[in-house]
Amino acid sequence: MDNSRVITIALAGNPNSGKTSLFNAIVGANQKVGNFSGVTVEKVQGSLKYKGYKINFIDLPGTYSLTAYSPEEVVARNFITDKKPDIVINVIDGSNLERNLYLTTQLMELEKDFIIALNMYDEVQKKKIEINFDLFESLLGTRIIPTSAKHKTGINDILDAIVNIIEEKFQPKFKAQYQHEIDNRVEKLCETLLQDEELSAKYAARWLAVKLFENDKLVYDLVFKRPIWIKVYSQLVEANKFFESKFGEDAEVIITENRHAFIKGALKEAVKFNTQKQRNYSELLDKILINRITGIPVFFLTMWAIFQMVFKLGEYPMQWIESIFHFLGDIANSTIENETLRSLLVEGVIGGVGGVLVFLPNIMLLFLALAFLEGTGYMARAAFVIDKVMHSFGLHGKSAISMITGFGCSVPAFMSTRTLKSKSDRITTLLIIPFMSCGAKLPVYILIIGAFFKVSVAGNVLFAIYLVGIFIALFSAKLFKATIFKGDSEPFVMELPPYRFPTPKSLMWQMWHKASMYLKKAATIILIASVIIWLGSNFPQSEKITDHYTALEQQVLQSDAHTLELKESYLAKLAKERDSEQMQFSLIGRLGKFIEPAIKPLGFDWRLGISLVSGIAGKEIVVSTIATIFSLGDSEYTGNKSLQEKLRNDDAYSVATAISFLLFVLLYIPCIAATTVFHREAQKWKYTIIYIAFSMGIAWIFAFAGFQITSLFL
Amino acid sequence: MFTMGNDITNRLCLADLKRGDRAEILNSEAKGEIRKRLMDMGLIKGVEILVIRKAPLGDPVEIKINGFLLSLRLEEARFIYVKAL
Repeated sequence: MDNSRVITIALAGNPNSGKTSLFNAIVGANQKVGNFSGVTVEKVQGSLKYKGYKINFIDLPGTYSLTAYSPEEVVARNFITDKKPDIVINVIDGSNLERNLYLTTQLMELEKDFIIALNMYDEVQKKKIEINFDLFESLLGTRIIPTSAKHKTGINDILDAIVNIIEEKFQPKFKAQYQHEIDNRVEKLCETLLQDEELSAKYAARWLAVKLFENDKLVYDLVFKRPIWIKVYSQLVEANKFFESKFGEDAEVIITENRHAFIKGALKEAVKFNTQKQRNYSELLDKILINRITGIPVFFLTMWAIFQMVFKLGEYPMQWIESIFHFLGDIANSTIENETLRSLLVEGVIGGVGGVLVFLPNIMLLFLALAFLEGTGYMARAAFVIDKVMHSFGLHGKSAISMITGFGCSVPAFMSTRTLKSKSDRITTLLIIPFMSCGAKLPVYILIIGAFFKVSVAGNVLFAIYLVGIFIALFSAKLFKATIFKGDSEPFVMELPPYRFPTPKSLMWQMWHKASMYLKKAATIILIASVIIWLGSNFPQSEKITDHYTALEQQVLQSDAHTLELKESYLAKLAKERDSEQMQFSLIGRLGKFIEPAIKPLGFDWRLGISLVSGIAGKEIVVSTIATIFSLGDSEYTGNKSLQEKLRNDDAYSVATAISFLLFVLLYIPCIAATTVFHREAQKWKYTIIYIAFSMGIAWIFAFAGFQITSLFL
Repeated sequence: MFTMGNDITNRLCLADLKRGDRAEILNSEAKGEIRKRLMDMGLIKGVEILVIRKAPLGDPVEIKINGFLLSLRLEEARFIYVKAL
């Protein structure tokens, strides 16, 4: 017993095998999340002390195989070959043995010590599947331990098995046998590869050999540069020629068939399946939920339910958070003397921090909903049902869920794109989510529509805006797939896992995990950006303006002609006018005037320009900025009648302006919070720049078209 | 009217099957990544599959294979040649 020894264990297995639940059952809450270096693949680690050893567990990404195509698979296999964990735990879904064992056969080729956790054993027992463990273990060459992550059984057996291997009381011995034509050639290739000492010190020769026969790109690249390649290559050519002529298939297919044959053989001997017709609840549920008639309605109902839960339910904690921050703001307002410091604290810091935290309930609820969907297995069905529509625009069925979330807020929608495995799917979805009109834009729409359109058409105009957003999103996806992501088509091939009930604990863990990710990275940047924007809207200040209004204030205060109430209302009016003029003087104000020539063709003047610039902080700020510029102070977001009247009566604006403004707000770059999260998810500056340029470009074009065309008719 | 020796127009592929059809896989003509994916999921010669349903919009198709449920797009299913059972 070596007390100082640290043991590294990796968990490998199919998606939906309960691997992560088993991982959680083993290490408990003692977990740490990071990234595998260089890729957007999550790395989850945990550790525990057992019988004097410190054991580190790494949960590898779920994979069906160890091929070289998806980043997850590459990460999983590289971790096993390069980082060399002491032991691998192969987690298999006991109720789905045949497919799960396919990965097992590949692990055997890696010649690393591993044990098998036959997970979901409770389901195995329910299905009355009988397993002869002794025989099974001798066939596969290692310990097979029944576990149930749900009921927390078998955990100690797993740990004991690990310790036994470490203490060399047990040694796995793999003997997967394939047909002799393969085995002989693999042996021969092994001998050749062993001649390259450097190579065979790092990788198991058998694994390299099999992968070479399988045309594995990464292994090819590895061996290609070695001097041994010439000998290797001639053997590969011979093998393929042989198999083509004798079996009509290349070596890759033969090997796959052999793996399956091995699995079938082992199962035949060691496992007795219950041949009685069993009630398959999953298939029953599917009959109800995804049949030709109910499929689409159930999908939309589910999306609607998520939406309600995330945004309606989320409103309560949102309001609590808002009131807490208002409260803090009030305290600061009443206690701090220095006006600048007060403004910085209240509007900059407290406003900024509040602006970050206010997203938290939505994010947590959204991820709770997504974790539930994924955990139950319905997520796969949702993608299955809607894929045809998505695919016709170059997207994946799973994109639909992220896009629909975007109707509430882009921030959680961006984060939800992690469920998309393919990079091109994910980035494309990220790029088009902002066109799904987020909740913060609604106050702007209501203000403008209410000002320029009759009540009878108002509802239709609003609906039209949302529709335009959806269409532009879908066609942009098509555009991206035809240009930037050309030729990058990912297979849809997807398992529909059995319906299961996820444990509340695992749901809570996932919810908390995503929320803390958001807080850690996005929050700091959003906060800094908020302060910068505050600076931009409040500085520089003009002494002249301040002095001018102070003088006017003095006049009002000293005058005898008015009552106290009248004086107070005059003072309030003066304060608003002063704010309006100061805003024009500030950095943001000047920016607004600076861009005026660019936005004139859209029908905007510098006043709308300023509000659009300020909208980068958050779309709802567009309304408050318009209100300030028109000297109306704190308008409520329900479309203050007087503000609407002012807009309508202003000669610079018309219905054409309204339409182009609506289009511009719909399409231009989302708020700084969303942009920050976008960058975090897309990871490359190149994409963030495309994101900014594309949205601004589209916004300008459509607003321009909208304005010019409407002007022709009116 | 004449028939060619190797009448390939009679070949049945997975995409042609209807709900409830049982079939045995003959071979796959997929290339590249899709080929590996299909093989990884067990769509190889000799395996029996059952078509459960097509999605409400007609695509993708859901099949039962080796005891689990798999969905794939028709454009992917076109690569798999089968023999009806």
